[in-house]
Parts: sequence; structure tokens; C-alpha cells
Amino acid sequence: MKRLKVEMLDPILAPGSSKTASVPITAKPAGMACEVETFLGPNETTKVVTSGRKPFTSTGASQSVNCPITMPIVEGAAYHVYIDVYTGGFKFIAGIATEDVVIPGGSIGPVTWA
Amino acid sequence: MPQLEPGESRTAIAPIVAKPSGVDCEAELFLGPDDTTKVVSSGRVPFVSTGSTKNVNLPVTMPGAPGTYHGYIDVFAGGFRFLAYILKEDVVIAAPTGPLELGSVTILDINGKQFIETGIEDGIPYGVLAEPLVLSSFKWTITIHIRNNTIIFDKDNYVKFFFEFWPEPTWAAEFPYSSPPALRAWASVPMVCESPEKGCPPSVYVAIPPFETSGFFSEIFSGGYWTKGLYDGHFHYCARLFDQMLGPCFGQFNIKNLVRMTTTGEFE
Repeated sequence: MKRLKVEMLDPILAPGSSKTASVPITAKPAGMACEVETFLGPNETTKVVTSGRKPFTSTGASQSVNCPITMPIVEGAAYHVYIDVYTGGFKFIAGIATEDVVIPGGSIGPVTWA
Repeated sequence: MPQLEPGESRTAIAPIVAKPSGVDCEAELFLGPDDTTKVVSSGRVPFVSTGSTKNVNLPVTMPGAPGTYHGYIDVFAGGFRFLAYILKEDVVIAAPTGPLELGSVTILDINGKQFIETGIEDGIPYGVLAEPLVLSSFKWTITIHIRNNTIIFDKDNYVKFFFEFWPEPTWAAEFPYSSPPALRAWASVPMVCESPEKGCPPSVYVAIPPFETSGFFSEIFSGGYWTKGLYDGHFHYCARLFDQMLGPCFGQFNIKNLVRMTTTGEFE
């Protein structure tokens, strides 16, 4: 299944911070029992952090589903953001955010005065 | 521990490793007693992370008040601080030292109104000197030139120097009591007594009492004339042209509460 690109804002986040991704999902037809999972990682098979599967019922139109997730604690890295939507036990929507989540980090060396 | 001058403009070069690369960041250096009290700050200086060490220049003007200050560096990205450092060594702002080591400065003229000249005998005009002197403080800075200095020889082989200097036409000042457009001064520089076995006469030009590093004095003397005054400022001067005769010539002191004087030495 080809991953679709999903727009995303605010890509720079603090390590270990708790955030909630509000994911607009259009799942059809209406009335289906669905689940959505948002996870961050270097690739779609490596879930560094995940929201777990969050259930919702499709409406046939766009609906925002909240996916709470704790940011990685490893600083100085960028993480891809994946969104998978399931129904009936199989994944029928696979998305990837257009921008990575950046967890900035670094260090400051010895300061000199000029 | 870096010791810096009050009001001195310095640039801290901070090697910052910010990851990942390509992130818009900002760094801020500030000095203060704690990380919530910014006495002076570089402001937020933008840079783009490279993922490796990047030297970021953080210019800051040192505090005017002497003391020891912690140095803090914060680095921001996306609106939040992700690096917070404290410099291992504090910054020490040195208090002006006093008394003057090689002489003294007496204010003779404010706003073009000249005070009583000191008694000069057998003056030998020495010409105009091109080397500027600099008076500076955390409140104001003046660049001055020696206009006419005179060497005086007296009977005891004792040499005194007089030189007059004046500000350049443009200068910036933040003066708490007045902003004199012109400020002239005489400096009297006592020479080292080369023949102490013959006795060295006391120089009236060092009649100025020792200055406190910061304090108050109400009388200064110059050439036998005392001038009552309340002075404010931090004077720092250097007579480089006299290096050969006087050695390194730095003197600085605090003057409190400058007021105008009349030509007869009275308060206006």
C-alpha cells in the first residue's frame, strides 16, 4: 500500500513532551468501526513512539481523530510521522506527514570572548 | 575568569552543536545573578543548525555595575528552549581602580565655561599632539585630543606635565545630570623622582586625595587651586604619547555628581 502524504505543521517539538496529533480522517463508508495509529520513527517498520490504535467510527466525511503521543526523548533527531488507519483488522489507509517531527538537541562548547 | 570593563562591548563566540541540521535556531547570551534575571543580553541571534559545531557570535555590552555575573546561553528552536547552559566561569566586571597611578584630571571647563587656570610658570609649549585620549564610561564616551601640552621644569629638577584636551565635535553621552557639549580638562602628571637623595618636592598636582573605587569626593586640587565640585562618571584615560617618559599610562576613577562651576570656581 502506497503511503499518502499528509500535511503537518509545528514540526519542532520538545523531547518527551506530550502532544496530541489531531488527524483529519475521511473513512468511507460511514458507520465502520475503525482504528488509527500515529507513530514516529525512522521508517514505517520502526515505531520509536506511538499513540497506539485509537478507535473511532467512520462518518463518511472528514473527521478529526486525536492521537496522543509522547515525543521521543532522544534529542537531535528528526522523525518521520506515520498514520495508519485500520478496519476489520487490516490497514486501509497509510499516510506519512509531509514534514518530520524535529526533536532538537546539541551542546555548547567552551565559549571564548572576542 | 574573564575580567572585563564596565560597559565594554564584547562578543562571546559560542561553539554550538545543534541537531538535526537545517533547523532555524536562535541563541541568546545573557549575564545576570540567576537564569531569570537578565542584566545584559545579546538578544536572540538567529542561526541555522548544521548538525555539527557552529560558532555563533553573541555580542553583548558588559554591565555598568561592577560585580560578578553568571553567564547563560540559551538556544531556541520552534519557540522553545532546547539548550540551556551556564558558563563555567563567571564574568567579572572590574571596579574602576584608584587612585590615579600617574596623574589626575581636573575638570576646568564645562559647556565652554573655563575655570580658573592653574598657575603655570616657565611653560614650554610643546605643540599639538595628534594622539587621542579616550574618556569612556558605561554612561558615556568621549574621544579627545591633546591640544596643547606644556612641560614645566622647576628648580628642583622636578618635571610636571600639563596638557589640555577637548572632545571631538561629535560624541554621544548619557549623562545623568547634564550633557556638556564641551568638556576640557587639565591633567597634571607627577614625574618619578629621579634624585630622591636631593629631596623631591611634593607636587601640588597630586594633591587630589585617593579616590575610592566608587565613591564621593567634594574637592579636587589642581595647581594649587582647589575646585569644589560634585562629579559623576567613570574616567579612563591614557596618555600614550608619554609612554616613553611615563610608562604605561592608564588612570581611571569615579566622579560623582558633576555640576557646573563658574570661572571663579563657584557652583552655578
